[in-house]
Amino acid sequence: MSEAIQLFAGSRIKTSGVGLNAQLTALVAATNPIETWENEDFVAFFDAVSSQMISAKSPVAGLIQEHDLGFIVAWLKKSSIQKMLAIQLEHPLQIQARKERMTFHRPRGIAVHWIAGNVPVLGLLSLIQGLLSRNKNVVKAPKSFGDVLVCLLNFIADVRVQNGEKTLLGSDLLGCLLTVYADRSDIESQTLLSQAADVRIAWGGLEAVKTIAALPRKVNCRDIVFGPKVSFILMTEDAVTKLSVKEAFTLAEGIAKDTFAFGQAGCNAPHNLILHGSPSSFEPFLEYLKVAMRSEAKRNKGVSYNPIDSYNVQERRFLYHVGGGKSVVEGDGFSYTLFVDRDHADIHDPIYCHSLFISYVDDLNQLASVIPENPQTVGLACSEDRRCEIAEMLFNLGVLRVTQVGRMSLYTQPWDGYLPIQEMVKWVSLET
Amino acid sequence: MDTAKPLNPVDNLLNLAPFTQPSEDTDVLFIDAMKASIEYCAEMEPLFDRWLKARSINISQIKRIVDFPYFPSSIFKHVQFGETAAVARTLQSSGTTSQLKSIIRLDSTTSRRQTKVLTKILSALLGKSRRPFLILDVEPKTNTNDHTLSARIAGMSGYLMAAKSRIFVGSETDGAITLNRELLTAVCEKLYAENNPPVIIGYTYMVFHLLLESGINLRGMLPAGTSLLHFGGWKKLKDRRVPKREFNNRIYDVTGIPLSELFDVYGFTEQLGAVYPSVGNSPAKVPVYSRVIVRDPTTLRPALDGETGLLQFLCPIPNSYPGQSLLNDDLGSSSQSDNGYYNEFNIWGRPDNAIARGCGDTLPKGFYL
Repeated sequence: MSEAIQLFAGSRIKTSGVGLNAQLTALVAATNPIETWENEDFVAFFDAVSSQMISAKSPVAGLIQEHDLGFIVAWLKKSSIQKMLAIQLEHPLQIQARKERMTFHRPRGIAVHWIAGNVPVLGLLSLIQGLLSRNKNVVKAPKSFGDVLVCLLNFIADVRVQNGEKTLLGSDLLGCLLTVYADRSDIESQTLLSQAADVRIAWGGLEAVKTIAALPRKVNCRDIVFGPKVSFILMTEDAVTKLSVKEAFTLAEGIAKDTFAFGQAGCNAPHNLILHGSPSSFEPFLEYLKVAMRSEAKRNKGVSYNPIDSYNVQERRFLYHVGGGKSVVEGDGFSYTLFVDRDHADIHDPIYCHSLFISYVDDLNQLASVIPENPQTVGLACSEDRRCEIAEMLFNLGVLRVTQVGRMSLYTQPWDGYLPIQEMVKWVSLET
Repeated sequence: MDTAKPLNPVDNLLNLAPFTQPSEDTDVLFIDAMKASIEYCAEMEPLFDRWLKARSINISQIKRIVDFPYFPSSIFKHVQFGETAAVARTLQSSGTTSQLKSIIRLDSTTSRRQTKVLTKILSALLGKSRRPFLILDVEPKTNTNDHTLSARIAGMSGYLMAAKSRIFVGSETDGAITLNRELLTAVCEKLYAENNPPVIIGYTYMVFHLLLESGINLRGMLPAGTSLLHFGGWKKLKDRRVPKREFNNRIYDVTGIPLSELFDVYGFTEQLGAVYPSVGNSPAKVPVYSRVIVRDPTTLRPALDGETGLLQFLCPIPNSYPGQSLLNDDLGSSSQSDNGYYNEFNIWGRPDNAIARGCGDTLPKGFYL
């Protein structure tokens, strides 16, 4: 008997009177109201959700601020959803289609999302893409985010939008959604979820991804794995030498902003700053960076750290204080730390607490020997004329996103090498 | 004319009785001893000196105990200090939480201080007369290749120095350690007849394994005044850890040893000699040779009364390496006693390592699903 706790079903929280197996069976049998929604319906609906989320009367405005969910407001706007649908669902085959062979997309069935606890907003975005692909969705929520998710879903369920003749109801949108919490050790529930899935979307760390991958699944189930990734910032000398004070400070603020976003817990958070050029040419810029980190730390006052992280930072601070060619710049307590190594270029594993390892390369080709096997985002600051050339080199080294500094934390398409909505649908064709 | 050499401030402090009530006077002695010990190390250890200078710390100007600088004890896994010292003995930590082990080089001064302090603390707990020790472990053979056993015995050698006689009551068959019941029963009968209360001693997990899991019942077989002293914590038996109170109750059930004779001793390789005994269900006591400060993991400031944080241990015993002020990765809490001092603390163990890292997790090289 499954112990999974159901948080949300359809339009409201329901108690877990029915076992997970029965709920999944009912979900398979149910008619999904959004199968008849057009793309424009989703665009109109989510645009209204976005506006209402931050309206004066919004019941979730405080929640959004408290949980760093502001990004979702912009992400749900009309232009954003339109762009996302255009990028992901205008299949190349469709564009090339001749009259006698047409290509369409259909939902795959049930999309099960395993949301990680580190940056729950990403899991929420995953769910919305599951809805945009018109699948029925099951969210395995992290314990830490369950209540927040329920509040947001309750809010969405109450939204009502008139799109021309059509009335769009939040309760219809969420009509085929199950949100459950199951303990990681509850393998029985996890197995039921996996077996029901036509798409498994796994967000999480190594252990989580490993566990999900090992669960039994349908032969044709598609896996979208957003597993452990490493991100960093790369700056070239020419990006800083010609900057005005204001521009240099803006760039430094961008680094600080990326480093502090979501408590540095996301795979898109930088933990390393690689500087291409001589250490002396970056000295003035590092002074701006110290100021920017200090300001960002002040804005994040009151954040608490895991004792393991603070202990590890303390250990590394000592080693950098005594190591040759190394130095440390540290904020109050563990609010931030810059670990500077003038002699050895490296990309270090994250130690969190808003820590950045700064090292130098003389030649960008040195990056090949330091980039780990799972790079994701690189915040790149360089002169415009070299941007594409450097980005191409990074892509060849496995990097999946190259963004402007200060924009690393924004969830954009593609993500981790996927166009998720495209992966969540099946493509069908018709010869006439 | 008195030509006696003035005592080193560390020796001054170590001459006090171990559980002397801390006071402003003992604070002065403690601060002087810490300064002398740290300054000596800074002269001998260029890396330590570089660290102090990088942080603009002038030891001679320190007036408050909370202001002594500290670093994590794990540093000894990365940096080898004491390379220039006249090394009398080298210690290695058990390295249970990572592959790396702390390497601590002791000179004769450090070694002498460790023995002195440990002897004084053990005397305060077990009495001045030496007693027979029943050791819950296997007796090492002279030329053993069993490095785990050798390390275990080395780790308890300080305690064993206080023994009148040593009897190992564990035996090993095919790598499995079991209790030698016949031997233990015979020894207990003899000691009971002689009214000669022994000290039963061993690592916490060995006590658990050999006494609590073996099904033996020693009730009524041990003379009054028998003590049980264990140390090392639950690191090797993390999954089977039982709460202290339950552990002590179960010990009482199988041995009849009352709480007043049950000693759970906390200590660590990087600051050997200074040990912190907990009697029965009470918190660990801080001897006058040490101070323990609970630090908030976020701000590093001393935690509020009773709040949990990382534990900083200060003790001037180390002479050949800079281990006088160390931050441990154990969590603990401390409450102010009636005289305003924090001379007891509770240890809550290592912080939970299972942090939800999500996609920000690290990926080991060559990992495959």
